[in-house]
Amino acid sequence: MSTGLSSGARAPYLQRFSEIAPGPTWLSPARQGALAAFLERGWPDKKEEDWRFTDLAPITTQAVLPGIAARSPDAAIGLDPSLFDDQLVQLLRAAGPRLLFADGRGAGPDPFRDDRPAPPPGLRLEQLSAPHAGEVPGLRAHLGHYLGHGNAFVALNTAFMSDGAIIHIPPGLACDSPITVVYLASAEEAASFPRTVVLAGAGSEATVVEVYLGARGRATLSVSATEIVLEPEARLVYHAIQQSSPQGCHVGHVAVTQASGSRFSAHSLALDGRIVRHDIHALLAGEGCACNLDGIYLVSGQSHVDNQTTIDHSMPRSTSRESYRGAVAGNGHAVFSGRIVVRPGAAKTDAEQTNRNLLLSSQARINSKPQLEILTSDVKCSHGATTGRLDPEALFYLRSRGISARDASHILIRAFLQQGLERVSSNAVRAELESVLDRRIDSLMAESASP
Amino acid sequence: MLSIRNLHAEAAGKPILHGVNLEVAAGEVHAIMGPNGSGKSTLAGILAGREGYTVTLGAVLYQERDLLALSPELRAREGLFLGFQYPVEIPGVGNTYFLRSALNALRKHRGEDELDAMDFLAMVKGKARALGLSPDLLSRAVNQGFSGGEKKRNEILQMSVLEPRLAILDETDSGLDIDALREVASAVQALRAPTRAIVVITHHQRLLDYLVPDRVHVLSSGSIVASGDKSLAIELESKGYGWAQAQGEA
Repeated sequence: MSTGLSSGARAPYLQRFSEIAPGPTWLSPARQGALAAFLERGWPDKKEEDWRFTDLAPITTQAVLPGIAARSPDAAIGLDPSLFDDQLVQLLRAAGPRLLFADGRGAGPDPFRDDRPAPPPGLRLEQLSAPHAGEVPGLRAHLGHYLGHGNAFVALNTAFMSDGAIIHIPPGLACDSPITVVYLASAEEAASFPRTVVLAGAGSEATVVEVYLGARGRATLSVSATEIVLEPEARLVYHAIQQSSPQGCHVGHVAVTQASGSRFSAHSLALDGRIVRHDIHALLAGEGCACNLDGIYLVSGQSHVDNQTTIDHSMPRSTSRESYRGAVAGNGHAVFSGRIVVRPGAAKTDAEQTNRNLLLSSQARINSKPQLEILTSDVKCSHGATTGRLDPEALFYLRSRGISARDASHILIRAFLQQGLERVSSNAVRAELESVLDRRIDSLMAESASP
Repeated sequence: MLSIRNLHAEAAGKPILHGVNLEVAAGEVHAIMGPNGSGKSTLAGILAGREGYTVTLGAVLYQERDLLALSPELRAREGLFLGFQYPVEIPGVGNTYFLRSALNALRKHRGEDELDAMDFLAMVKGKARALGLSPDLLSRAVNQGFSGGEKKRNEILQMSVLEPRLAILDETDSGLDIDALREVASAVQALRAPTRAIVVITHHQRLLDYLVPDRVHVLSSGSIVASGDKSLAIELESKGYGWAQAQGEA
């Protein structure tokens, strides 16, 4: 188990903590507590089940610290737009309101676009650093409440969060357009710690899209934490789209808490990064919830992508559906762990999980680990994992019709992955994600073709 | 159009073809008949470029070019079409998208403009209707969940869209009931053209009632043991392959 940091290793964290802007006073106890918890526990090591397959050395050999620079929330940032993937920055460009952050801080006026439509009346979309953020209904009660300090990265995020997005959807409000939050990382000398809180009021409906991008060619590190709370009967669609450079790292943790009758649907898309780790933990705390966790990952080069999911059925009559699909090429390594817990009270639970992998090279690796903990009877629970290669018969069939070997592979990889988008309810969003997939498959194949 | 000369081939180290000779000219329909294991599908696979076969001797010329030197996709772009005995199911790839990608690959090769989705759809719907294929099969994944008959009709639909110069139909009649057989055969019959050659591989004479061949060949144990006109097929039906083999050896 982890043993905590030595006093020498603690010093830079304590110093940086004293240097950064203290933020709102109401947050101070949470931040101090999180820092203490992190120093006490230190980094997870590979003996811990959840970290068995992921070597954190590239991240943790140096202190993981935020920059000191205090930037006022409304100052324009000196971002070079060409450092970022334009297609991803402009994702859903015609759609709803968005907030943009750079290196963990609010970017103020959006340098990529300034004519975003205003949020619908009643919707609160605030920066955490804004002076009135603490007045967003429910925020103080919920922030930090579900994440705990159990995970070193979550604790660090809480200790160092400088900014982030607070989204409050009041009860009964239906937001037609997606609400987008874009977190850009370009600094190499410092990590960023973005925080997102989504409070979906009773009976509300909304789509929230988080985009995490690392600058081209830069060894960025972002450590994100997202808390999502669904009140009774709320409906929320959540997308997390992540792309770092092949040198950049991203560690993200999402905690979801669902009240009775709520419906939550998550779609995660991990496109690239040296080390990418996504944890999503859904607590089905009320009766009759529907929870759907889907994910797609593309792994190539030396990349390592680790998805850890937990769906915790604690009350009766909830349904969960989970499907993760990935393509792994080059020396890539993908990890999937899907934990489903059915607590003693959670009768009539209906849970299904699948993980499907496509190996595109002889060096590519995959570790797939379903974990079912069923502590009650009268449940329907199933899981299945497969790992395979492109079907040579299908490749030949396509080629025999004039389609090049490369296009045939592209078509089959895309067909495999896009089945992971079947539950995306918005056609417009699905079309955009398919086009993102297409481009990433192209780059993955170009990489595989070159020696 | 197609000239197969003394073709010897093996699969997994086992010799299968022992010197096949065949000449097919534009405008002709040839039938290759033979019992199971005679090498019919091996021959079709080699012509289309399927992996797993080694040609040990002989040559195949297609339009005066060395066919065996071309990749499967180049063969297709040069006008060769293989109707699969077992069409492959491809989950996640729409039938229409697949067909349009294929046609556009051919058009691009010929220096023609690609067809856009709307124009293509109108064209392919017309062809599907003519073949008695339900339009709903166009919007499904390639061959996925298709019945045996639907898969074979889908092959012929592809042939009618891609308009090959040389079509090799490998057991296109297998697994079809008598009505489906008649429809598929007459669809192929409608695709006969002076500039197009068709090689039908079958082990039943039935298909040839509707698609009357110019030449019939009997393939047995890896070589052609008898050739003749359509009456050979009728004679085979009554006398059996043993008779043809004995004729060849005589």
